[in-house]
Amino acid sequence: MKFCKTYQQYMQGHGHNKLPSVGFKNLKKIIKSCRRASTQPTCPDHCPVCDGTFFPSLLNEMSDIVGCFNQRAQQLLELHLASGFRKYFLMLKGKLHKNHTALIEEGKDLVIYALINSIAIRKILKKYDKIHYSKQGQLFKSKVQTMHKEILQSPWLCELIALHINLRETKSKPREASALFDGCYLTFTDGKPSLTCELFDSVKIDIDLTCSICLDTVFDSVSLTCGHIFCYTCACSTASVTIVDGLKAANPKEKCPLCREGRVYEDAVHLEELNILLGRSCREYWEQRLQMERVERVKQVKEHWETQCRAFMGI
Amino acid sequence: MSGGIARGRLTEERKSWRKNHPHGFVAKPETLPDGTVNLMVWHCTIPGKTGTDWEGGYFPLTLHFSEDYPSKPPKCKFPQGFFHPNVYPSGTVCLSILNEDSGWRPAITVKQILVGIQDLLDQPNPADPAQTEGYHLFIQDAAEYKRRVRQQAKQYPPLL
Repeated sequence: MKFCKTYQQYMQGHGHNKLPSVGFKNLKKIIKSCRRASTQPTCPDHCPVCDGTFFPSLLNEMSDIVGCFNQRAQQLLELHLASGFRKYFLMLKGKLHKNHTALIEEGKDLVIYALINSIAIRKILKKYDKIHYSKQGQLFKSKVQTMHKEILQSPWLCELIALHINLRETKSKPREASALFDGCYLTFTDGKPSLTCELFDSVKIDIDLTCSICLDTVFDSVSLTCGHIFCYTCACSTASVTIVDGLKAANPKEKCPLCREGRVYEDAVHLEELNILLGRSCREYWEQRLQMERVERVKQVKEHWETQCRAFMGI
Repeated sequence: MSGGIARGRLTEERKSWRKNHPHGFVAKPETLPDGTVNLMVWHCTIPGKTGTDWEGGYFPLTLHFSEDYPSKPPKCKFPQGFFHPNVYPSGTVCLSILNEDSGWRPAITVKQILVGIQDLLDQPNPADPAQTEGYHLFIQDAAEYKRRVRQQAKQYPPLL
């Protein structure tokens, strides 16, 4: 079956018509009309049809998809991680009526939604480049990544996959997996962990869980807005801030250690579900790192308060 | 920020290197006279690439890591007076991936640094000269440049 059909069936069949999606048919029409409008075999660098219609339409759709996904994923994770007064408050608001299986299902649906949309976007851009004999599609994709509109960059995707594994391992087995979904796993290759998620048609994503600063498994992990994952202390170190001040205090000029993109620290996301998963899967390592981190944090807190006291006393 | 991260990272680098490293290369932390290991200084050897004028030479290189590593790159030094267009008279290597303001990223490993320097030996970057002699010969007198490179390769035979 053609992907376009699979995609449309999925979006309709899962009641996702309320959710934003890629307008495959509409975008294909635009590409065709551009083909007719242009007498040359290749689309010129500044094509009114593509620059004015195709890319802006796709960008809007991508923004809607990412926005919707992030919002829903955040809500779901908030429900799962809520405790104490927050949990009580959510119960009163009537938000916490979902049972365990429903949480798993909704989490899984959101993961599929993210992956299938990322495939749809990749396919339409590939088609664009094929028809126009150009690399404009690829360029657009990298431009979109710097704008953080690429769904696979979303920190919430990693969190949802971790949530899915956590719930699946701790409680009873959920109902049969969807035909599109082959599941999520935490895999170890040479002792290095990664999150693997498989979709139909052998489409697979791998999220590496090795911090590229300390070259060890991420501990107390954070995802920067560019989507790269690091240990919290390592991220603080590269952002030249103390653990006490936190990443919010980072200078906007500080760049991501991997992609060298700026302004990525202030909205960094703490990956709570991933920490739960790794803490459970690498117990010995986690305990060891916990001890080391405790010493480092106590040291930094002491230094912080000493400088605060000196400043206060005018020394 | 803290030296703890630098030392932790270098411990991992050492483990990773011992597990798997490219053939002919050597990289080990400095051992002090009292027998303790100083992780902040590594003594390395880079073999000249097979099929090039550098072949047969095993060139000593020292990596100096700061407490800010891996946020800041290590300083890489050949012996003083090393002949190459992109090596300063002091022996310091001039390479984009070792420049904090251009190509350096904390994700770059010791292995990648050494392989990068091995590539640089036979593929100098004339846009970024670091010594007059090496640069002028490379630009103006290819035959003499070749001769000097081969001569230098003989000066650094393999350590048995």
